[in-house]
Formats: sequence, structure tokens, C-alpha cells
Amino acid sequence: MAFAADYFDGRASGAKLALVDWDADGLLLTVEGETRRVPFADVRVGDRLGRALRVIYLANAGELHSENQAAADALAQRLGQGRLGGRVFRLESRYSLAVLALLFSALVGWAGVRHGIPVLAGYAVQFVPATLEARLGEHGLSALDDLMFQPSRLSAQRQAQLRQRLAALCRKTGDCPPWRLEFRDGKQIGANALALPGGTLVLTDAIVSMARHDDELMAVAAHELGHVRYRHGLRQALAGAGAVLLLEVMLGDVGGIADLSGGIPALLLQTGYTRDMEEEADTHAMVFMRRACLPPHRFADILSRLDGGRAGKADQGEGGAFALFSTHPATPQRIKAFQRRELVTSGC
Amino acid sequence: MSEQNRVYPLQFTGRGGEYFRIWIVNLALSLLTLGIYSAWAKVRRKRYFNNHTLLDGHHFDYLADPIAIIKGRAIAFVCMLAYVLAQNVYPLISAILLLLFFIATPWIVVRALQFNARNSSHRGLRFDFQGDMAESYRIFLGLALLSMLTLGLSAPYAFYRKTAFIAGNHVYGNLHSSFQGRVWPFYRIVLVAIAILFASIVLALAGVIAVAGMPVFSHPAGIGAFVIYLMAALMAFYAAIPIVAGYFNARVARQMFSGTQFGELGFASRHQARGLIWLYVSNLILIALTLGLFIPWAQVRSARFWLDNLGVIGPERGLDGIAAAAGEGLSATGSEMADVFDVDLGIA
Repeated sequence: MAFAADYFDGRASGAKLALVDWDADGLLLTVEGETRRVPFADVRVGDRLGRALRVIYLANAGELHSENQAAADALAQRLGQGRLGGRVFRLESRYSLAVLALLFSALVGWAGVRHGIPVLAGYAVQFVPATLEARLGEHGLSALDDLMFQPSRLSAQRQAQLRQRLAALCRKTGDCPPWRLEFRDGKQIGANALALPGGTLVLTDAIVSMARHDDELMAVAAHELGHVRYRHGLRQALAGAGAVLLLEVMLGDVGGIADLSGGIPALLLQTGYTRDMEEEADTHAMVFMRRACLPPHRFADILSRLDGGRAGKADQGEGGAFALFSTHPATPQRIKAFQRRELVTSGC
Repeated sequence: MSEQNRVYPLQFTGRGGEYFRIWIVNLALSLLTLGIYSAWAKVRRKRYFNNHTLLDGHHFDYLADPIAIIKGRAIAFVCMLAYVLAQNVYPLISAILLLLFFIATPWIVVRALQFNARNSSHRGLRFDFQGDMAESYRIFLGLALLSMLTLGLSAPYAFYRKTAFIAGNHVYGNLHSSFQGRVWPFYRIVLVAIAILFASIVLALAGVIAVAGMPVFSHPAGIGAFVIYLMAALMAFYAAIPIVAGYFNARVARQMFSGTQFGELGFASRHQARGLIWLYVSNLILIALTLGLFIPWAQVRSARFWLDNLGVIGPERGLDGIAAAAGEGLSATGSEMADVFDVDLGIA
């Protein structure tokens, strides 16, 4: 298995002709008529990479470059090195596998952004302290106040009345997360409700005047409290930021792709709460209303009135806040769920 | 340089189809491992390009440890995450982080150049970058601020100093590079680049006037005409970017290579603005038409342009004895240069 190679000693740039062979104990290197033995522990063969030359690296900084690639392959096999690199090489050597890798990448990229990152964000939420979440909410509210909201025109009395009603219901059910109820003139978002990270609930003047019964507003608050309880706002904020960052890091090396797709995950994720989150919040509202002895159809009533009034207008939150009724088309189904369970639990 | 010299051409032997398969496997495995593989992907990419770069029949090599790259990416990820989170919670802290990043930039630049150089080798000898940190601060902080203060008038000078800093502080074995270029050509290049940009906008506006026959200055043509002019100017601006960039980069490369010496070695650059403009324009169009799949071919074409037009001027007797290791103790294994900050900060 002897083969010829250019030997670079790591001390000068000149190549020396070397004759290389190996036996059970190590590499036999003959340079300028002198043979020395290099133990296998001091030999490393570079991974296979396309048609690139496999360099044999020696521990004393020497290198062997040989046109005889079969010999380098055999040496790597003898050393038991480059198995992982060899597998990657096999993946890289066929066009059929490249097409598979392409399809796989597209699929994983889509699934990761749509499903993987929200799951990761749901996990990461545990590590965010409540104080930080509260700051996020405050920041979001002040941004909304600057951009969109005007001070509420409701009387202080009416505001206090609704706050007291919610507080009383919370005492009754005994499982409200920390909350604060705010009122704003929502301008272009019209009749709507928001839950900000950290527990600030915002009802717009329009939704308050649209309600025909205060319990309808309590039902909306219960839904928003569900978003607060499960920290949906924070999850969405983390997912949005995480998607961009992760893609940047994961694909930073591919060149160009991350730049092209940088805006896409944010778009996919920033369409408000996901349908799962809305369902979770609806379930929370249902449980809350039963415990508080509110008839569930109150939620259905205001939902259908809102749905009729909105006529497909998409409301989107900003700065970590998300509207109660976002781009989800399933409002009739949601309404039905609350109408079907018309019965109020006994004991009320 | 007392004896006869000749030009040794650099050669690039990589192929688009082969690199495409490596690229797509890199992408798929990076996605599969949530970005961890991207460090190995970077090593394979850099190795592919270095291994296929030949000088006088001997190839270049890339020897970075993926772990060092992973560390660098982890640091970058944490910093970006902190910045994004702070932006939404504590805007003041995000401003401070941005300032810190600005202050750290010259240090990061030197570290990234060092990492790349120290992990590149040729004929068994490593490169190095020995730029002075104080000089880096003068250029990337001091002159950058000066450029802002002078409204860009000193920007070509800053660019000249940056080129001199990078081209004049590389080391190969015991050879230290030096840069003797002058500053005036940099001013000329920038002026011509600006002139091309203006000319293309004027040309586009003249074209609109010729086609639509709208008198521009005689009477107010209304808001519609103004929008058309604005659109035409904007489109001309974007269309001119690859042309200006091609001209600029090719001319700067010539200045850089013709002004750089590596001991007794010099460089012969045949980079033409025309060729680079064509490369940029065709790459952009093909990448857009193939939704990014052309990127690996574009990278190979780019490498071929830069390398096939470059030669090393060296002694007639050959390049065999051009350099020796800087000191007897300096081995090519690079372990002595590993320290806490031996991480790859080359984020771009």
C-alpha cells in the first residue's frame, strides 16, 4: 500500500517527496532517504469532501498531500476515522439525495416556523419572570396609547362598576391570574378587547357600549383572562423574535436565504393568536362563566354581534398585544359552542 | 526582487453542481439539528472553497474547529436575543446594548480576521492576522465617526485606511504583508461610483420624459406625474446598485492587490469592472428566478471570478521556498493560540 505524497513539514513552505506506508503500529514515512515511524495516534486524515484532496495531518504539524486518494481512504479506514464525515460525504454525493434534502428542508422550514417555534416559545415562557412580562405589557400599552388609543370617555363611575363586577366574579371563582382592567377609546380598532402580557386587560369604549348586558363584558374579560393565564401574548412575542433569530443562526451560513426569508416567519406568526390559543381562551371563559354562574350564551351573544358588525375587518394587535377577534374565520363555530352548552351548572 | 519574476496564476477548480449538493445537505442538516450543524456546515463550505483554490499546484486549506464556531454563534445568539427582548421591555437597555456593540465592533473585526486567517493554511503553513487593536479602533470607530461628521467627505479615506489595515497586516509563516497603496485612487473610485448612480437616475427620468412626453418644469404636472418620476428614479437607483457595486469592488480589488506585498511576493490583479457587473447582475437574476436554488452556483462563479483573475508574482525558481514558520515553536496545530476568545465572531 505504499504511495507517494508531497510532505510539508510545517516549518517551511517547500514540498518534499515522501514515500508513505503503514504497518500494524503506525505510519512509515520516508523522506530524503530517511524512514521514521509515526504512531497512528498522531495521524489524522481529513474528511472526504467532494473531489477535494484528503490531507493526512501529522501531530508534529506535518502534512501529506497525495494524488492517490484511494490510499488516503484506506488509511482513514485503517485508523477508523471519518465515519461521520463519510456519511455526510455519501449524502453529498448524489443528486437524488440532494433533491430529497431540498424537499426535506422546505418541509422542515415550514413546519418549524408554523409549529416548532410556537412549541419552543411555549417552553421558553416558563423561564421569563413575571416582572419582565409585566414590563412587556406596560411597554405595549404605552406604545398603543401613543399610536392608536385615546383616553376613555366612559365615566369613572362606570369604569369602577365594571372593575368591581369582575373582582367580585374573580373572588367567586377563586382562580383569576393577577389582572388590571383598563378602558380606552379604541378609534380604528372599534369594538374590541385586548389582553397584554402581564395581565392588563383593555376594553374599548365601543365594546362597552355595544354590550346589552354587563355579563357579556364579563364573558369577554374571562376570555382575555384565559390569554393572560396561559401567557399567550408573551408566547407570541417570543415566537416572533425567536423565529427571526433562529433562522438567522441556523441558516446564517447558507448565504442569502436568511435575508430573503427573514421577514416571512414574522409575518406567519404575527397574525395574532393562533387558533389553538383562541380555543384555550374560550375554554377558560367557559369554565370561568360556569363557576361564576354566568349563562354561557352571554359570550355567544356579544361574539355574534361583534362578528356582524365587523364584516371581515381584521384587527391586529401591536407591541405584544393581540385583539380578541383576529383573523380566525371560525367565529360561528365558537358561537355555537357557547350556545350549545346553554345549561348552567346546578347550584346557581 | 533582484532576480527574474513570473506570475503564478491562482486557479479555482470547484464545480457548481458538486457544491450545490454540499450546500443543500448543509442546509438540511442545519435545520434537522436546530442550527448546531451549521458550524460543521461552515467548515465544510470554507474547506470546499479553500481546497479548490490552487496556487502553483498546491491547494489552500481550512482547519477551524467547529466547536469554536458554535461558541461564537451561541454568543451572537444570546446578544441578539438580549437586544430583541430589551427592545420590547427596556428600550434604554437596548440603546445601551447597541452602543456597546458599536464600541465592540473594532475588536470583533480584528478577532474575526484573526480567526479566519489562523485557520487558513497553504503548504502546511498557517496564515495569521496581526492588526493592531488600537489601529482598529482608530479606523472602525474614530474614522467612522469622522465620516459622519464630515457628511461622508472623509469616507473614502476611511475606506482606504480599512483596506490598508486588512491588506497590510496578514502573515504567512514568516512573511508579513504590507500595503503601499495611495489614498487618491479611492477618492476617484467613489466619485465615479456616485456619478454612475446619478447618471442612471437622470437617464431613467429622461427616458420617462421622452416616452410620456411630459413637460417637467414648465407647469405642475400633478401628483400622478410626480409619482411616476419618483418610481422611475427609485427603480433606476436599485438597478444601478449591482452596477455601482461591481465597478466599486473590482476597482478597489485592483488597488488592494496591486498595493500589497507578501515579502518578495506581489499580486497581479486582472479584475475587470465589466466582468464583475455581469457576474452580479446575472447571479441576481438567476437567484431570483430559481427562488434561491442558484445560490451555490453563484458562489462558485464568484470564487472563479475572484481567483481566476488573480496571480501571485514570485521568483522564477518557483514558490517552494517562499516562507518558513515564524518560529521553531510555532506549530500548525494552532493549540497555542487557543484562548477564551478563540471563537468565530465572523457573523457575516
